[in-house]
Amino acid sequence: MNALVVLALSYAAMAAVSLSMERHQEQVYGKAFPAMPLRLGGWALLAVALVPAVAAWGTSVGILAWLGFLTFGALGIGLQMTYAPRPVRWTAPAGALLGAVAWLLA
Amino acid sequence: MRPDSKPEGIRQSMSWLHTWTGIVLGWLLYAVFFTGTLSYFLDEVNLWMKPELHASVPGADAAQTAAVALAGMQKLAPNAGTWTLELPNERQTTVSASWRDRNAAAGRAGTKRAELDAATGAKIEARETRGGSFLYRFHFELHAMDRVTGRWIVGIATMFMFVAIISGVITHKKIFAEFFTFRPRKGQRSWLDAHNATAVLALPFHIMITFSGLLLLMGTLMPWGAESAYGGDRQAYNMERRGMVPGGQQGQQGQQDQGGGAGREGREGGGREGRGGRSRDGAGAPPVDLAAAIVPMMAQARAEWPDHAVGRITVNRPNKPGTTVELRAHGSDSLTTRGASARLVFDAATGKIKERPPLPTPSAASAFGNVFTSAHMGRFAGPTVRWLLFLSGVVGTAMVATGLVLWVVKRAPERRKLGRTPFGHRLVEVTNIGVVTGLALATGAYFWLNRLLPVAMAERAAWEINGFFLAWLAALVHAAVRPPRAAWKEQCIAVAALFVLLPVLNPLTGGHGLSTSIPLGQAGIVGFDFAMLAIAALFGWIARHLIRKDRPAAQAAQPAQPVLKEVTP
Repeated sequence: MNALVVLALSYAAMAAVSLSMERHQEQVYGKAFPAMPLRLGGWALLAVALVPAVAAWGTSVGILAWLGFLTFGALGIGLQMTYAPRPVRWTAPAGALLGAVAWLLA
Repeated sequence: MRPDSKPEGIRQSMSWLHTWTGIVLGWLLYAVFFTGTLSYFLDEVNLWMKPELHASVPGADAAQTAAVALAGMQKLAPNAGTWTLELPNERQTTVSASWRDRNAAAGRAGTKRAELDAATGAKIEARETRGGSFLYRFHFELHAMDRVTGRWIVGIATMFMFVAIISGVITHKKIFAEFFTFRPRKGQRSWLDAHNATAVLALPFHIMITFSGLLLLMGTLMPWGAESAYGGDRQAYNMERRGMVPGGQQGQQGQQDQGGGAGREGREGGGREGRGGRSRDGAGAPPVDLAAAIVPMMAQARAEWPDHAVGRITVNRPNKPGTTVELRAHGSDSLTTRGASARLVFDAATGKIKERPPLPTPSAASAFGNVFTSAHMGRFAGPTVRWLLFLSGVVGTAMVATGLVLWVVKRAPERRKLGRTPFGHRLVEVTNIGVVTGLALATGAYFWLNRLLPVAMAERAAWEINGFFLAWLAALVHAAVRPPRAAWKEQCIAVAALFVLLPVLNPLTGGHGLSTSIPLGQAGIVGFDFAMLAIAALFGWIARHLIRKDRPAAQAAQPAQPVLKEVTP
């Protein structure tokens, strides 16, 4: 369950970070826009994802697990931006929601 | 380094450094990454390669398993000075027992081992094999050479890896801006993207694994400080480093073999259990019936550690007055102590807790080192973190492999301009194939030989390993005689076929197949079979990709990529 929370939050956070970049904005929305809030929000969400990781595995193992999930969250977004960029508009919020709900239930 | 002797910037010089350190040691690093990644499943590989152990199915009650195992030890080694039992867990089906006879030789030589059936306590005779320990050892000290030499070679490669990471980050400063970017079907561009993505996405893992690899080899690479400070007494140095008092029995026993199953074959620091318990023989109370006494002790341990099962039972002085029983928790919560876990020592006669040895409190420096080295080895890791480490290892292996291929792809224009293939380029190309797919082929062959060689064969374990190297050599020869694209394709198909059939071979040769292991909940066996299917799928996917691109229709559809067609997989 905690694995799901951290992975879903990392995925949503990485989506926000990627959408703060011009290249990916054009892929998804067809136009670029200023996105400082998205960038900051993405980084903040990454930090938030550390909390359930540390709660589940303790400080040292938790940080290690968090880094691992960040890698695979980013890998997921990278693949999505390559092969199916547009659906990220709803998969990213869905990821954030899934993470939040799973966290509440955990 | 520039032939026109113009001044070059730091990025160009780093690029040269990155390319050449990468290719010179890339093959070795690929082998280190590949076998190291498999070693995250060392216990699972060991279990799979001894199918005789699959028949052992522990019951739900750990206390019952412990009682049965102790009764088994009573038959097997009633006169031993110490018994050590590793209880079954999600990674092992049996009780791994070791013991030392009273007058046994010091160190590893005096330790005897057996695997006990978790349901009956009877000894199981498993086939002779080095199992996953061969892959694990190969990963940091190679094979067929002096251990120190092997570690030096791997250590030097690790240093170059560290250099390659740092110079790579400097060279490709754009990688952070292109964090999420992969451009498929663009020849060299795609290979560079793939190399960058696998490098950057798992950068924390790469830095951790390389730096901790150096820490782990530190004693081999830089022994002089310790040598001079301790006058050549390595043991005294190691004991003090681990926070132990020289000669202190309890502390040593507690900390020498950290982590789950560290005392088993093929691991470092094994076989040092129980130097204590030789004195104080003599008169006193009658021997304790340990099989009965263990049940309430297990219940107490359960109450003490609601989050941890009992991992290990150590009995000192069985069948003698003053018997003590030490229970150790399975797993721990912090990496700073190198996975040391909580312990309880019982007086066997009364069943009362005699001692609660505190967890060691490491100094800041050793806590730091412990975190890195523990993360490297992953012995502490539960299933989630273990799979994360394994997948990160796969990403790292892919990073090295894409880098190796990139070296060849990058030089394709030069080849075309020359109208021939320089010997050096061809050598790199052949070696790339022989290493990248050849090593996977060799590993598949190793698993097959484990099941096909007769159990009674002389030198059986050695022949499994010889088979590994012969298969690897065959892959190199094949790569040399076939055109590169055909060699890549054929080897990928061979690897996929070898691995996809392993879960079929397993039940045919005495193991528990998926239809048995899944209902029994034997996670270790299930995990191995699924990992093999995953590897088969990966290589099958690459093979399919290559076959599709070879079709004339596909070539006509993509006329703009002669580069890709000639030299890349």
